[in-house]
Amino acid sequence: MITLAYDQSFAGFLTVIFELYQRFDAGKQLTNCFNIVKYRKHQDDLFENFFLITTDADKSSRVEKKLMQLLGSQGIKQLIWAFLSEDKKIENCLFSVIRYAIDNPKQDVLKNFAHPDVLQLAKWVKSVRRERHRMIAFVRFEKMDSDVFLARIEPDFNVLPLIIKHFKSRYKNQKWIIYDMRRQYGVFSDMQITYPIESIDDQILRNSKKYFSAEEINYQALWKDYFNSVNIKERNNPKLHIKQLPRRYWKYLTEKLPV
Amino acid sequence: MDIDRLKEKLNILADAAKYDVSCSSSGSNRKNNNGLGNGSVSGICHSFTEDGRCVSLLKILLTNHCIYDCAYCVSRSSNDTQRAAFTVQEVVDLTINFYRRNYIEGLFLSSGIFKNPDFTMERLVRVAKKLREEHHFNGYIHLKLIPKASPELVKEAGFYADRLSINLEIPTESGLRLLAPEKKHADMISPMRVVRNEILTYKESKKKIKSTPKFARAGQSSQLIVGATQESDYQIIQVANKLYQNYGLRRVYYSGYVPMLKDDRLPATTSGVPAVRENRLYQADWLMRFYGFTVDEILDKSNPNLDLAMDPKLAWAMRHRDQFPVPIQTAPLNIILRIPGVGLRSAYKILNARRFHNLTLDHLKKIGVAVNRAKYFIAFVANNDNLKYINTENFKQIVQSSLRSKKNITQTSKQMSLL
Ligand code: SF4
Repeated sequence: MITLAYDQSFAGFLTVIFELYQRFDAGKQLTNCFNIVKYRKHQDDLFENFFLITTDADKSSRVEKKLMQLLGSQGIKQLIWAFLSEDKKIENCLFSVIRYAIDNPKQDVLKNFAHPDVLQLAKWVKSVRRERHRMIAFVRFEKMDSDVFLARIEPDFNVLPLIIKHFKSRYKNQKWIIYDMRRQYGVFSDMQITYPIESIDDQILRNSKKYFSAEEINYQALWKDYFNSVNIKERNNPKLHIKQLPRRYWKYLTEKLPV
Repeated sequence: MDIDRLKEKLNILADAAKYDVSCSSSGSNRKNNNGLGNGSVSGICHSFTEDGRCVSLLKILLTNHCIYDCAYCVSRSSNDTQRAAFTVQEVVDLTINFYRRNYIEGLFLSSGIFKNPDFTMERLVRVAKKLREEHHFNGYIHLKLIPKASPELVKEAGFYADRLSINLEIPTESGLRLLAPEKKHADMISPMRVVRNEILTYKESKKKIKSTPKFARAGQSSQLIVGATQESDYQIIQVANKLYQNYGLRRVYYSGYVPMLKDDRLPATTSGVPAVRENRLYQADWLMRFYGFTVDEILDKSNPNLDLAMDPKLAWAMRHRDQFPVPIQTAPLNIILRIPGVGLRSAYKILNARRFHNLTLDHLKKIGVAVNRAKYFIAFVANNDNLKYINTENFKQIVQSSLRSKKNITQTSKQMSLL
């Protein structure tokens, strides 16, 4: 078995696909001869036939073009969404689907759910879509003394890239940042343009309260009060509540935080 | 900001508004031109209360002072309760600040009637106007229309708001007379008529002049209280049907009466909330709106109340054994839709799938049909073993007992479509 590692970017993954066909003659081998992994330090000690693939813009865009022909923009979108699940085996699943598409250029392969990896892909797309949907609803901004609205998130999947457009068109007259605490990157919008950001002062992230704007605490308190006063206690339904508002999101949900 | 006073007001005025069950923020496609916010066509629930309802809008009253004395309402003038009133600016600030933090999709503003209907309506309109014009707010605005408000104010309201609504509350005129002597159905119906006419007029002129804005782009809705008076379900769905047919309402909401006021005219405060009944009414409502059922098919004079033990579609099927089994391979859509356990989406999937295969129960299961119900009502090209031992005598019993073993009636989520 040959193991190929890449830098975890989608372009990196597409570069791997390029090399698989160019260098490793993947078209003539069984898919399970290859194992694509996210690169981690000292990984090369673990695998025998180990190759670290360097991301290459030219190679990845050639693969993208090919995929565009085969699967269309909707198809590529599905690959990206599933990719953002960051599942351990997602690369192998995607490779298998891509290989299947290349071998059957005339078929609409993404509709054949009898193929186990196509089905698996569809499942990942569904899960990622669900979390994207939830994040759009559950992101909570806090207004900082610099007038920037900061939201911290910790989604299971890497959905930040998928929610930017929504917030960009919604908030055009306020500066905002959405920061993924787990993956340690974020997006900043200055009302015109959105920029990726790699880090924020740890102090601000860990202890945001200290940097709140003057009225922030008040609005949080008002929102919490509101949330509690609209509940009709006679109808409480804890099981349903947890289903609708899973506990793992509570950490940053203003209305669920202790006073 | 006097935070303590504001908190107190918010508590009082959110609490008094919560008995309006409508929470929808859907139906607006308002764009954001460098202002704040936009519409989301399908709506967004930003949170969920512990009782399982979607929190989408800041739902508050402008004030709970009221000159009227409707027995079913916590804000009625004779009720000994704390009163409060927001200023226009306070509502605007709350809305904007909640919206900026992604707590809400917008505002749902209602009010008790202070001074007189037009005085109140004018304030509500002013909030919406300020949000739109001074703050360039493009989020969702739902304004309540005040009974007896003048047509001019209703028209202005629809210019700024996405949705308008006025609650009929008590389904029958006699019930209303008993519980809200100052109100007549006509006081609520005439604003509805204004809204309907305006929507049509704007639509007409949009055909000629492209730039015509939309009037109440998310339409109008209303609410009926269930179980405060002695009305039958038949009467309720007749009223709802009229609202849909005559006034083009997008939605009618059904709100099970929460008994918390002591009054000889009302159910005792110890009686429960009629949650199952409310759920059944929503299901009946769906049958009328999406499944092609008429009111009189769902209920009639001799059978005026929905069966609490089973959904109204199943109940209809039980009464009409002669219409079953439905030949799944050939029946038209409107007949497929009548099969218990087959929802809208599965009905369309059935139409698609049967072009390729002779359908079996297994196919239907994959499509998403509730087969434990549906299996007694379908004929396949191959034999359906479930029908073998069924005859007119034992039909009801077999179907019912098989369902009973599956699940007990739960009192949960009210808009579940178990159809
Ligand atoms: S008019 Fe409205 S607010 Fe006033 S008592 Fe009647 S229902 Fe309540």
